[in-house]
Amino acid sequence: MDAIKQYMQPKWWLIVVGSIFTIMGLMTYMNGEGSAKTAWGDTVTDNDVFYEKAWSANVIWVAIIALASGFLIEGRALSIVAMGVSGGYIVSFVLIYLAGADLGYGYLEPGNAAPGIIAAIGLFLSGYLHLEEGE
Amino acid sequence: MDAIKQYMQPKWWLIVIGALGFITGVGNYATAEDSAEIGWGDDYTANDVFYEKAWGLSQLPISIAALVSGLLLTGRARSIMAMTISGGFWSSMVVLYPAGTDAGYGFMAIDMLVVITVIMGGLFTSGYLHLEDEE
Repeated sequence: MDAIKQYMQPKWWLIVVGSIFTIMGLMTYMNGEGSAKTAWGDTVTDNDVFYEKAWSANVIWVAIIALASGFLIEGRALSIVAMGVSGGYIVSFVLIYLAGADLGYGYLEPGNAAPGIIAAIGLFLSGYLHLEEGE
Repeated sequence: MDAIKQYMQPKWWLIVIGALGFITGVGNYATAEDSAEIGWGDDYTANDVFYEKAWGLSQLPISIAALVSGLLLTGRARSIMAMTISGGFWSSMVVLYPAGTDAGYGFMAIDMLVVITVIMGGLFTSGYLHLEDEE
């Protein structure tokens, strides 16, 4: 268990997830049309492109929270933030999946969705394993 | 200054903004067709409705982070989260606003954005004023 805890440090999970989300968010924003085509195929509208950019704005927001908490917060507070952010992400993903699976939205296919979900579960576990640490 | 600090408690700013974010996010999910109509007028598509649902739900990780920070964190960690969540909002608006106005998206009305920006300014200020508080 100690070996698992050693590799499941919420600080580093938050920093890595925050960094990946920053890159993903900026790439989606800069390439909104390409993201929309990945999601819906070749027939995309201007609205689809806008929404992909808008969604990336929220991803950047989450990334900033993850990075700042990873760098600046310690102990039990850090674990709570890790669990809060990742728990919220998992709940939102499940509901988005229920809303969009029938439409054939490309980012909800297992291959595209798995990395985000695995990262969120890892982040949640890292927080849970270190929840009893002091400040 | 002490009187201002007394009313600018990050705990309550985080809880209220987290609760509002949660309610508006779930509300957007529940009334996505209405939101799409406000966003684009009568000729909205099924994709627009899906994106409105997803966008509402993508607020959940941020709202839950605000709520748990307000309810469970103390001192400097809570102040950092207050400043980070509000700072993240402004960063996301920097990328969202140009995309939204270019697309003619109905929710980009300047008066509404000013209100939200001022509220987030309150959250940031509350964190800043209590940044040196003990854990």
